[in-house]
Amino acid sequence: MANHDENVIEIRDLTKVFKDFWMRPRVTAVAGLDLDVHKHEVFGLLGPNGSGKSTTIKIILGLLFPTKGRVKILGKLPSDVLTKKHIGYLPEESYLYRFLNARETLDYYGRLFHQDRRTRQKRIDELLKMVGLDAVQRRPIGEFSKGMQRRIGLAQALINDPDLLILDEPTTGLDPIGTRQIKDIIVMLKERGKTVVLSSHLLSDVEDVCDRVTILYGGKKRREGTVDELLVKQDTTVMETSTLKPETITKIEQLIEAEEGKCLSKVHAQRQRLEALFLEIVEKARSEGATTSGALSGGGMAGFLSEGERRTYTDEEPEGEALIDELVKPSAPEPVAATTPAAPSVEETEARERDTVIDQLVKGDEPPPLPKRASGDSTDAASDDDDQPDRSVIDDLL
Amino acid sequence: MNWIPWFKWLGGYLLIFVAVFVVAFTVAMSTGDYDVAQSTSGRTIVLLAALVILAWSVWGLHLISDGEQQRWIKYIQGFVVSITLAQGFGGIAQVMWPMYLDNIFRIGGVFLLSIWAFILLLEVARLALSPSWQPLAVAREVLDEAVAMKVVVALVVIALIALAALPFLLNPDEPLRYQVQTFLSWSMAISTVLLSIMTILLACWTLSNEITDKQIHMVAVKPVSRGTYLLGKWIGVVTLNGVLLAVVGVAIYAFVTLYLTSDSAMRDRAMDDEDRIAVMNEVMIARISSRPEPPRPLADEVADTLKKMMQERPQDVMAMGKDEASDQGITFAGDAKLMQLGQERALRLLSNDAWDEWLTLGPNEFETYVFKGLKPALKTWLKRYNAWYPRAEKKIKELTGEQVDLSNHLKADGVLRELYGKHPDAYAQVPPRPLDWMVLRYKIRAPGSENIMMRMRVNGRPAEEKMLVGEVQVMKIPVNFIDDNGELTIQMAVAFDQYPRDKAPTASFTTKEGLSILFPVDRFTPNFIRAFLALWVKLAFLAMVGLFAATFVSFPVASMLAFTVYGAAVLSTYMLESLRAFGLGDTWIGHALAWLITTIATVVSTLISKFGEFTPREQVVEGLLFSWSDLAQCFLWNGLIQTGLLALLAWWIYSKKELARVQV
Repeated sequence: MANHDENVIEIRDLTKVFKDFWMRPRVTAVAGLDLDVHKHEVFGLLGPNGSGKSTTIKIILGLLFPTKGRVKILGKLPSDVLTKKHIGYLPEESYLYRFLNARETLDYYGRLFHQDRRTRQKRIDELLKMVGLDAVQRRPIGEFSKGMQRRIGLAQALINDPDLLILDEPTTGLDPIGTRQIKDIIVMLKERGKTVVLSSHLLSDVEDVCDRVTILYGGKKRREGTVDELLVKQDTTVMETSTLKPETITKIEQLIEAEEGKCLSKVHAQRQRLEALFLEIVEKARSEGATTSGALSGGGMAGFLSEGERRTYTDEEPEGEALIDELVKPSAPEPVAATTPAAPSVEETEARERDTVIDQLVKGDEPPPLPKRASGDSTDAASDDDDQPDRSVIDDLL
Repeated sequence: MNWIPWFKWLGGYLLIFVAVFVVAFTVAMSTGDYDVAQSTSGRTIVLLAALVILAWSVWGLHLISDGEQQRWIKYIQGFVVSITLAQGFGGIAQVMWPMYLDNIFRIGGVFLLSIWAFILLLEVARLALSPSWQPLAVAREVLDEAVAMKVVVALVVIALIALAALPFLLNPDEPLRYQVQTFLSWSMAISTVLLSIMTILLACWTLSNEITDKQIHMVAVKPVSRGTYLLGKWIGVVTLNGVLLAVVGVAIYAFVTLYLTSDSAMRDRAMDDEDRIAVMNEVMIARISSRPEPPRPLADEVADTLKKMMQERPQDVMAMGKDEASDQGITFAGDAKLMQLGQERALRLLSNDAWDEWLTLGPNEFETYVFKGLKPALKTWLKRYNAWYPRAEKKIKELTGEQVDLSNHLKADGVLRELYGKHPDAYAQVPPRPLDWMVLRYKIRAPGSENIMMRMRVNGRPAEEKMLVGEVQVMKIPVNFIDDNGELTIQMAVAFDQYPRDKAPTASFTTKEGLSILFPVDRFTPNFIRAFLALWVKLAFLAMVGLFAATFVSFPVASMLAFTVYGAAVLSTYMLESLRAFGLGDTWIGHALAWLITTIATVVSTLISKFGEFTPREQVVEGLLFSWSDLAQCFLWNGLIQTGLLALLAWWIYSKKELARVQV
């Protein structure tokens, strides 16, 4: 578990009121927020659109000034320039210079971090490979798709090997491979003792990687705790086995009824997860030699990011993970430290969703956004119960 | 990258060349007409070849824009393609407008060269901005942004086209000295105005657009202080200005010295010898204009008179105070205030009178004017002479085979006269001798007369000159008239043809061009360089005006504001004058408003008036010295004080700004 002694971010009674020209209050974006982000943890800021996530992050970074309250980041005020050496930030959209190419862009940000030329070149090479834009590095950013720009945004957030990484809606616009990669990066940075703040309304992102989450609504904190604390559904038990015969199920049902006086509420066959399916199709297309003008699969982790102390991480290897590794390896030119992050378990998906995805892929359209949720790993008691874990929380709030 | 299309392109290009030669040769052989470009068939061939090459260069352009390669590869490709483009256009011009061919080639050549010089210098500037100092990173981003910003590129192209086309708008029937002055004046004015516009637009855009487009969200969270960031933006704009001024300056300089005023060009273009001498001594030169100093400071004299007046006739001073109060629109003023106003008015009127009187030549009287500090005239002349005579001797040797000795300037005239007697052709080819005289310029006002006779003694030597009233008169005074103290004393009297002596009207020197001596102190080149450095300083100030405006308003408003400040700065000298007479009617509201407006405007104008005070362009055009001290003052005022104050203000506003809030 993370070390709680030291807070990386400390927010006390933060209020942000946007005023109009006549100084009349227009919008209260954040109202009396208290927040602590501990060292070495992955912290999730959750909430629907307009709940004050981005505003809070911008205040933390000194892009906005608080109307009231106190904010400290790495023990300093947000206006302190030098602390920013240790911070990486990916805004809700990648705001890049359209006229610079990918390489020049990263070079620019590297120079803002006072990096010497050699370090810059080395890191840029690694980052470009990692985000899979190595081949298009001399194309102006203005020609990039949104997802490709997002990848550059991610690369620039990592160029200083930050101690604190702040990601605002990191997965918007990214394909599942990119999404997966961001999650991998988050987990890996955590292993190296870094702190990550993740803001999202895509609950699966948060659930997969966060240690602790805060749920905001209307600029106020509604709930805070570890993911496990928040998601355990006290009155449900889930068991998972390989496929059973109907008679066995009937017997089990009878047993439950006899022992506990309860009945089975749901029995179904395990389905493949949409993410896994998607990755499978892309891999197939690639093995057939189809070309793409877009991003290639990322090349694992940038060397400078995975250097240094690591904690051992043991977990079972899920089926999706094997595929990712397979996708990642061929284009990785140098041995990179393989990561084995938290295992996402298989998720149940509607059949028509699957059809749509295949249709779109065949037509060459943009892939659909990720499935709205991914359940946690097997320790997560609620993983199989359709929508309930996340939605119940939100419903509570609303 | 894939080189195959490029090799195809180059191969095809060479093939076209060979084919055109073969076809032209065949046609010439079969028709017996060897002047291919004159015959119908020959012209058809040239036109066709030009069209094919044009199409070919379009393909080349297509290839460049397609690739994703290193910049320098793109530049080499671009250079090759631009030459083929020029060939295509040149071929068409040769057939369609043969009579303007020379001009078209010259304009095209200058334009092409300037563009490539610009690109090359821009790369040098990018290289210079490579060291890992944060402001330089920001500055280089500004350079790249400027190139990507089509408005900037368009303005640069317009400036270069205008510069390349300008020489052909000159009137060849005019004396060459006016042509040179016209060219200098226009070319410098056009480049200054276009560069000012570009500077303001770029400075406003680069800062405000980052907030509107939110790139600042990813920059301000890096360890860059806001001051550093502003500094970087400013350095970027100023660097671009430096590059552009260098290109434009070299183009103008090269054109003036090589095309208009080289020895051979002057032989072709100058009207006559006088014109030639005038070019070298009145335009391609840096002169000082010296005014006579009154024997005793007039201010002292005026002060004495005023003191006397206060003691003897205080009521008159009071009356003047009332006049002044009503002129200034002051209604409520106590006696003390009225007295003070009266003194101001009296002082002004008295000193005007004193100057007028001193510059007036009454009937039957003479006035003495002493010009001081003329030693540099003598020194500079010697320097110029010593630079000239070896050149002239060499040229004479070349032309006539005779070795002459011109080292003694007193004997040179005789030597030359003898030489030209023997070789009249050599006259126009020997570089003109630097003149050993200064120019006395004066203009006389004498109501009711047209012709007058000026009688003078110049350091004791008598001189006489007939002159037209109301025209600027130019009189030559040999430099060796200057005495050992570097002084020249001129006594002047006027004789009117049509009046008897005692009934003659008074004549007076008009104050502006009234009476001055012009003498060379420096060469054209350093003067020109200093003038361009001053222009750079002024543009640097404008860049800060643009950045400052963009710290608190969005692009359209910011650029409008910056243009207003620019206009005010240029006109501030006039504004300050007109503000004194500003009034808004004789009500207390009118007075209050007028007071408010004049106070604010005066403060602002005074602050920025230093901008309009330095006029490097006018001075270069008039052949007047823009000295190191002028440049230093321009740097101090425009570059350090004004830019610095504005920078502090911009920095203060910018650090108080919430960068994530979009401004409207």
